[in-house]
Amino acid sequence: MTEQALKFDPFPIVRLASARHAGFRIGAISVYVRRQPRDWTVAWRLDRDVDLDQFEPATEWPDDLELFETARFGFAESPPELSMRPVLGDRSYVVEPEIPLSIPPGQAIDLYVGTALWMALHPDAGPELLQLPTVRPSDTWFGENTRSGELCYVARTKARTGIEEFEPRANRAITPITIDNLSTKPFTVDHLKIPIMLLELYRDSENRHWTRGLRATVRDDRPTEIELKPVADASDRGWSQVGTPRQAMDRNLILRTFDAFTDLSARLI
Amino acid sequence: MTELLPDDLRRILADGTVVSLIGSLIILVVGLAIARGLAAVAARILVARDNEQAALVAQKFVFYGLAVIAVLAALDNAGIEVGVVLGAAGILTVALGFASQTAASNLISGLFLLGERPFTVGEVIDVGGTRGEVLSIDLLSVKLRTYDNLFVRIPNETLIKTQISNITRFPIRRADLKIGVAYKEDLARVRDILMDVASGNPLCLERPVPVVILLGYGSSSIDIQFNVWAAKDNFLEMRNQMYEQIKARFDAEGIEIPFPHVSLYAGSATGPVPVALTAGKGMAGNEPDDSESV
Repeated sequence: MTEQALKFDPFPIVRLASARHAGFRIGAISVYVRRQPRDWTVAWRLDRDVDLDQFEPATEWPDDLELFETARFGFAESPPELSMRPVLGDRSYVVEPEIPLSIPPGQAIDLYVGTALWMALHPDAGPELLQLPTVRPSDTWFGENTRSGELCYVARTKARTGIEEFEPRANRAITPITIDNLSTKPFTVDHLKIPIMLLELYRDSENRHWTRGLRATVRDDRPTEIELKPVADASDRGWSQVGTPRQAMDRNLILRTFDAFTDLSARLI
Repeated sequence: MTELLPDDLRRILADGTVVSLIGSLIILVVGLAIARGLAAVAARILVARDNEQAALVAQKFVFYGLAVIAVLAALDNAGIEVGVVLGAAGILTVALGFASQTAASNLISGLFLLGERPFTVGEVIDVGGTRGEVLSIDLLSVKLRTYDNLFVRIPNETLIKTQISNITRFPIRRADLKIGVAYKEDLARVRDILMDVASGNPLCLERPVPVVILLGYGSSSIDIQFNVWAAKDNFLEMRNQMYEQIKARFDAEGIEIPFPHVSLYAGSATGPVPVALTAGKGMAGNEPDDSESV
């Protein structure tokens, strides 16, 4: 076994002497890093059928390296530390509850949905070298037709309505969403787009990751309004911020989160 | 001789010819500078509206239009009768028009293309079987770079008359996978397996939902079309992966992908075809000289 100092954290800081290596698995990804005097090599592989809930250190440099993707980063003198920082996904998520959830008029509920985290590799305090998804979610299309819309990731979820029912996972961020149905008709949540790139990422005292919360208000006479919950809400809960939004706020973008989604399949044969 | 020069100069100046020539030159230079400036402004406005090819053409039109006006103004200032020049130009234009019908047709077609905007620079189009990335849309022709890296020039007139497929206009594309399974297979199970393969491929879009269509009873298989969607950038990769994964999954599940079967009939007597193996005459080796009937 090589000399390594891994913090047993879902997103560790790897500290290595020169000519040493370390590896770990989390979610669907296996990552190996090797330090040389003037470079760091990173090898990674995503397995389709694996989704480990916990961080698993690996010891040996993989024999089947040809099955891995690799990247190599050169330095005048290689820094001793490589930190893996959690970041939110690079596209919006469409959350599909396993059973569509209907909210009667006048009711307000809290939903908790988990979305896969990416890891960003940084040498010491230096700029980001690489981003890797811990799970590669499936692509999906969110739009009223095939001409205009947005390419998103899909997250199938039980859409838990209480945090005590929610089973947090090491490589997922939890987004709390409050849906307030002020309309006179029941509101059904079957496709819910979360604009994840607009949200900050937080970590709580138990190493669980959270995003800033969202609030959706459904009314009869106007489109559903989505707003970000105040940041104070996060600090009140004792969360510390570990990531900034990928994208600046664009109001029009998030107004479409709950817009009617037509099932396209019938028209597209 | 040196004494004569000032007199000549004075005479020429008094005549006004040189002054008017200098004036014409100034009109021409300033006019061309203004034409260039206004053309650049027109192009910038259209680029800001995401219409790059219109910007290219508008720049040329504005420049040449204003340049002609500047030249005519300069000629007028120099004392040349513009009407006569224009008359001559008119006759010349008619003559040139007859001689350059094709060019004129392409020019007009180019203007229609700009108005209609069936494609823009950078998009991938298919014109009569030629597929490539649009490099530029000019007054007379459109230039493409094909995937085998050839430079193709297509006259605008051809584009107006021909069907054009814009491959990259919309952000997602559908792949129609053609699959055949043996007649003995359970089609409901085949459908479930196909949907499962699609669901397991992250590049295959969850929505629009993949669709299995039974095309009919083929000569040696039940023919199926499996419609799956991908982002346009992942289209080829997804299609290749899907064919590979469907084959692997069918093999693992024991689903047969049949190949064409050929049956031989010997006329009206459809019994076994008599086959005779004969060794001997003309053959090398020491095979026994006998024959066997099947």
